[in-house]
Amino acid sequence: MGRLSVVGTSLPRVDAWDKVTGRAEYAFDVELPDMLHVKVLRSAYAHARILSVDTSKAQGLPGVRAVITGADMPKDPPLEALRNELYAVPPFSLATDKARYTGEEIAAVAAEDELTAEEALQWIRVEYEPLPAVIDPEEAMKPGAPQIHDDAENNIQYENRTEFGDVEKGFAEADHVFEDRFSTQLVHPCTLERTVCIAAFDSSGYLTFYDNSIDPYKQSRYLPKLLGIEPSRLRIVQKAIGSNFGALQGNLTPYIMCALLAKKAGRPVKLVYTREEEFINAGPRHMGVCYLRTGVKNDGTVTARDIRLITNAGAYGYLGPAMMTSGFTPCAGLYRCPNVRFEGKCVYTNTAVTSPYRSFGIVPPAFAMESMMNIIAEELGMDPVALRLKNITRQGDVTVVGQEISSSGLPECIEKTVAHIGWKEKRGRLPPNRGVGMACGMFDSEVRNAPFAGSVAYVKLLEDGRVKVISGEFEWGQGSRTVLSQIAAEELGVPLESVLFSELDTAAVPYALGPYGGGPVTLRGGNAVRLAAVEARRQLFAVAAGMLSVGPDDLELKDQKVVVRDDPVRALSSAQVAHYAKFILAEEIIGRGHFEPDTVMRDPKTYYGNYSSGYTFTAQTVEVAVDPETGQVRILDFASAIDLGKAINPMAADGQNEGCVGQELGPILLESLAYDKQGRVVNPNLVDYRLPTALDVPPITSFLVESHEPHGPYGAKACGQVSNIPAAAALAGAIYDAVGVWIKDQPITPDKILRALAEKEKREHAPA
Amino acid sequence: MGGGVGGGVGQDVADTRKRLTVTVNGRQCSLMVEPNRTLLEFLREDLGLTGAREACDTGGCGACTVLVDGRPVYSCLVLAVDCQGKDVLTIEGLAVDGRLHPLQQAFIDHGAVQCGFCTPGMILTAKALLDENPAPTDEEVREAIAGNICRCTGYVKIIEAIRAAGGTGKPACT
Ligand code: FES
Ligand code: FES
Repeated sequence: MGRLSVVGTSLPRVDAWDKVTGRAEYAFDVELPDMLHVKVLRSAYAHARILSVDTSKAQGLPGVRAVITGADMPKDPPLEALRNELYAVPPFSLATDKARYTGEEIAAVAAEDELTAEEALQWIRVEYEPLPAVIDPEEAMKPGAPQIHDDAENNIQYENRTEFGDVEKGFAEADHVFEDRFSTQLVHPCTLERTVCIAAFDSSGYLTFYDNSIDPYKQSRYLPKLLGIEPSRLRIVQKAIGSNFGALQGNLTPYIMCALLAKKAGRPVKLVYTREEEFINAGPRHMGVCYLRTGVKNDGTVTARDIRLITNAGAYGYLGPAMMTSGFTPCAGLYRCPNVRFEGKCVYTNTAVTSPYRSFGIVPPAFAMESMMNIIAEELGMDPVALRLKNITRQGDVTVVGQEISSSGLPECIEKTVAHIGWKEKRGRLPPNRGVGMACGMFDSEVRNAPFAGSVAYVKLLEDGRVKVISGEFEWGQGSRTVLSQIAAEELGVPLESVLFSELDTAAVPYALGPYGGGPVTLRGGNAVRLAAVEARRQLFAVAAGMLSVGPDDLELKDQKVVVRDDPVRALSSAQVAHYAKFILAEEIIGRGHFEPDTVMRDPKTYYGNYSSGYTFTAQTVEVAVDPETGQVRILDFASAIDLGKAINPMAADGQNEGCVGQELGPILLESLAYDKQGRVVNPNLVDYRLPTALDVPPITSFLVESHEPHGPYGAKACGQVSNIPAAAALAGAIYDAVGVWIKDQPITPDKILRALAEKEKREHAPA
Repeated sequence: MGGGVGGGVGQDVADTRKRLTVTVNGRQCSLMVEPNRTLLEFLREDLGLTGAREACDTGGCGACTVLVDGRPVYSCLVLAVDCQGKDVLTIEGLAVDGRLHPLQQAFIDHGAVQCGFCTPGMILTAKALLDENPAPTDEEVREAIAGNICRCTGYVKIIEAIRAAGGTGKPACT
């Protein structure tokens, strides 16, 4: 590979100008002529039988154009057919016989304006028979707990047990066995833009959605089945997205409601969730309880791990099983321990359908495992860094769960962050109430969780010399279009400003899997775009060779010119060649690139398999001050390193690293989506649900480690969702170093610290 | 700017609208508006200025921030009619003749934009800060933007950009 000029450079985002001038168009901004507004009637109870729904009064209100209930849903949607592909199938419809969480959809109204739609909701009469509700997954598993689904005994949606090596033997070999319980809470991703869905039929019955969902492809693939529309008669167009971190991946209910209302009313409709609806309906991250046992020798070698994970799947348990697999496997792979047992249970509760939120399912088990590594180090009198270095998986390993580690810069990540914080000088040596902590993490760089895991892209050379990338990989705000454009610019020798990116329209761009579990746009999409650009360059040379009467091999690309290598005065601009190709030869210069990773799906039972063509690593080290009077934690410095293979745009990669840490500090220290006993969210607004502000987020120092992943474009791996994995355990470790208490239950709030300090005091002063 | 508003639309209730004369982005506008219309609705729906974003509608996020007489306000909490005679600046009015304001340029150069939904409000809040205090410290910037939520950036590059635009930060990386 020659010297790179665009790849590896911190160029400004391709969409930055539109965003700083206010011109970027989000789904929220889309207004269609004659459009109606949708409001949704949601269950007032967390668990209730629905005896009747009467919409007749609402239907008669002036300005109301359509009302739907569960009775209007497509009859016998092929849910079974979808079950295999979608892990678990929420109803994707309005509730009919039973509501299973407060906020579940019961009816929807389309009216001339929002206020009328809202008023109409008050005229819909629902007769409920309230049932007892259960919110906590461990309570829900107990005998006698309210049963949420008839076919799920003890509310267990899914359970699995898998074992590698010989765990009992591993424990027998251990000099010490540690055992503990860790837990994380329900938190909400709180994208700044709220859920938007717009549906419009044209006069021929062709259905267009405008949305800001996480996954238009899944929608475009399954909605035709659910709505009884031919796939070629439906498309989804995506505008700029006001961020997305995973909430309600693939939720089809808003689409179904909007399509049915648009059809009934014969007019386009728009649904915008209120912030409260976001909180009660749009997929919080599941809470997890992790019981963990770890066997370890005196020298720190980990010999056995036994992991029991319980997560709440919410009322319908949508992606819970997938999040189990996705959360467990990187935790198992991070260390070399050959004896690992895992037992996972997803449990139905009367809460919103839980959903992935940055790094697909790994936060609950990672918090447990990395916290326990810190506890072990402390108990053995070992440096946590040394304990990590003794046990971590290394480049070239095949892990206990089958991951092939083709690149790892984890040791360098550790080294960089501890050096930045001054670990050696500070650990255990800081003045009272100050401390340092560290932790590591691993995640997939892309993932095969469906038979299809590839990416296709087209790169077209336009007649004015500009380059157009046509790819289905999405931009959620993370900068994927900039990175993919940089790759096309690199291969075709144009500046980044000369690259245009196709609008995301599922009818016009190639199918893509979407950024599942690992923000895989860079690895998968980047490879596809690179191959497409290389092919476009080949075509460019072939046409230019004809025009210049030389062989294609005699040509090179220089300053947007195709130049005869040995006779550089003979040259054509790329624009001239593209123009000639298009208007004289009637041929477009358009390269197709296809990338298919050499991976397998994890075995659904054992979870074994090399499911990603690269794994991203991270290490974090943090310094805190804890006020023992108030329990307040102040983060003084936070160093986060990611091994991303190669930074295609270092500034954007730093932005992912910093943003991921800054965001995760909310769940770690501040946030909790709280339900009362009746199953109502008590803090569904941005005042009572406290997100991190600029005053909560400390200075974050980002390090990028380049380990050169052989499967990635230019050596690149993913970097968007790994830095939130170790953050909680690193902080918990620093708090221990500062004041001597372990907090094992997130969020780490001042009252928990004070309670732990009081207990410690009591223990220390108790008569022996 | 969307016109055509303020004509006598046939309605079945008494017309309660009031005439509002306000300067928006240096241009005087005079429209009939409902007394309960928020400044955010007025800007987005009546004037077509959609750069002010709506993310909570309850004063909890700052995405809707605009400047009224130079001071940042949550436009979702301000009534349009209360801006009578005032001077409103939205993100659309910040660039002059296609030339970006130094803050806009700094946000681009420092990578302070990701999804961009918080960006207009953030930039306007920062403008009010820099107009008053051109060389703010890190802490002063944090305090000034504490009412503007960003979900993407961890605020690191936003703070860098604001300080750079004020001349107290480090230069953008290249
Ligand atoms: S929309 Fe005004 S503060 Fe959130
Ligand atoms: S850039 Fe996305 S919310 Fe700030």
